[in-house]
Amino acid sequence: MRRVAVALVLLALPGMVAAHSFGKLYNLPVPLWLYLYGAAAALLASFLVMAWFGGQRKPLLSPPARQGPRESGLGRVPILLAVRIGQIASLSLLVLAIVSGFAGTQNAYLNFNMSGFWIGFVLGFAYLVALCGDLYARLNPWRLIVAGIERVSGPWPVRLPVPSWLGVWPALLLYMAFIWVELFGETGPSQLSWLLCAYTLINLAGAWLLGTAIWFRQGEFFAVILRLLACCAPLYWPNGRLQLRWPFAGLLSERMQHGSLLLFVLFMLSSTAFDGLRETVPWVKLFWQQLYAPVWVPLLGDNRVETYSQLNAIYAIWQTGALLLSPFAYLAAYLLCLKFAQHLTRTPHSLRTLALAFAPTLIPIALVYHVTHYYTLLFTQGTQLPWLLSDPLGTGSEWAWRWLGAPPAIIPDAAVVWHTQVGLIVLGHIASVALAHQVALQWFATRWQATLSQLPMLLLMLLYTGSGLWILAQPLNAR
Amino acid sequence: MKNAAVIVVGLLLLAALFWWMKPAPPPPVVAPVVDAAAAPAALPPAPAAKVFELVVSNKQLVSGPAVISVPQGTLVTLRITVDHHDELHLHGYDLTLKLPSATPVELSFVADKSGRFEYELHHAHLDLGALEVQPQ
Repeated sequence: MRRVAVALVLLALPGMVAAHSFGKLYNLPVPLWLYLYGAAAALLASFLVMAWFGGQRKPLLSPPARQGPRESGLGRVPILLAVRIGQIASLSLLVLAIVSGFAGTQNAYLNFNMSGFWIGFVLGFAYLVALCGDLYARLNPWRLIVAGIERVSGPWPVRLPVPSWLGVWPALLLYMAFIWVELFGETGPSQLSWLLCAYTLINLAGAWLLGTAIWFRQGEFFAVILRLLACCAPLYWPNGRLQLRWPFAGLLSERMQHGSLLLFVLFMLSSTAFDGLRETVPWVKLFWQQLYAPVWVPLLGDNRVETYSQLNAIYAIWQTGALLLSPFAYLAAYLLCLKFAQHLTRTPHSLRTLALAFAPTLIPIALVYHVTHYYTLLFTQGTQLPWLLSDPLGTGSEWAWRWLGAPPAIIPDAAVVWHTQVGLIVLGHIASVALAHQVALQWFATRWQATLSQLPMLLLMLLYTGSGLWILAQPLNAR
Repeated sequence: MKNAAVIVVGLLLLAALFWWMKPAPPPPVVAPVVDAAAAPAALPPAPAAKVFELVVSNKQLVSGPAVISVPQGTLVTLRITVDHHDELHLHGYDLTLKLPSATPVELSFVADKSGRFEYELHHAHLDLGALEVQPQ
């Protein structure tokens, strides 16, 4: 009887596990054997990387500065022209997204702004940056707006001297708010437009107060995320010239100065993991079943019908709390492993120094977490973008392609999705382990110390990779 | 040169591990043929058919599975009874079905796309469950 009651309560939760704020994910849980393969492959690969570095004399991934530049055929003029066109497109798309949300249909799947922002920009453009370098530094529409105003008013001075403790805290707080809206906000087209307007004002105020250069490095969170992802890209643009480097090698020249940036990277990891986790059966059961008798009954009484709305309110706080605290759980594991490494190697470096030095090596894992979780949306929803752009307001006008009807969504075969998910996770793991070894060789006096320091780091990476795989393999909650 | 060799060996090891762990593919989903001799040889084997009964009352699923799991290629029939007229929408397959009040209606389709597809009742704003189509 109790089981039935629990089942009823579980069934009655109204859309509480709404997926990613917009767009339906059709991914199936990864089968057990493939999950185990991913874990075993990550373990095997870790030791291969370790063996490699044990015998290496020359660094495998040299920081890009040491590499001979490979000049591309692209000259400066076409690049400048492309940048100018991209800037016009970027500004127009921001304006279009805001206008279409206010003036167009409120059907999220017919209005251009939802697919354009959540799929085109947040996913598609981010992955493009991870392949092609920091295009966003030049195309950031908010930066362009500020630059336009500065052209008229003269450059904005720093009105508020930036204290050294500020770091990227403004960006991290905005990023947390953004993920909260993404997961729990249930935004429609007009709400999205309001949010974009608000974010524009925040950027204007931030740049006015702290100065343009500082705000767009420490406050505008898209700029921070995309700058970090761009370090993974095999293409980069020193002085406006296109050059090639090893994928992820750019992370070796990324110097993190501030603890907030470490937390920012960990939140990139943990927010994606949390979005996956909250849709799984174990997560939902934990609150509604395992904690019910020991915690909720003594607090609220054992009447599921009466306490249901209270429980639902607590669940909302529970979810938000879990999201906001998730990076600290990752941080605890990270610091624990580094502390162990510090102890093993007897290095004079402080824990803080080591934590900041190794932070960039977590970015490959964060990137592959994100790609594996969301990339299918580019096929199922991203493919609608040209069609939506032909009639951004969703009015169904005659001249637009609307009359063609929506193009059929491309639903990738589930087996293909599984294999790419596990493959990418293992690949990201290998990249992170290799980078961490490389960083260790820079920071520790002897090769033996460096290798020794990597034993706890290996454990940490396996923990991050393993938990990512575990989440992918869990059965999903029925709703 | 040595680097390339190590990379190749590493990749080979990972591939070998994959082939070793990969389970044998399950037999294709075919309805059991009762009398092989009587079935016309020219026809392709009919896909396995599965019927699922769902009953919704008072905006809740009161009978039937919350998750429907079938192998790809199965002929799925959903037989649904609701107490208020509504419309069923199956995401991904983009199928809709008008549901009159208190009358069972059927939606039949071949589950040819693999993945996890949620279905919902539009008017009740009720996420009814998910269809999990396991790839072949």
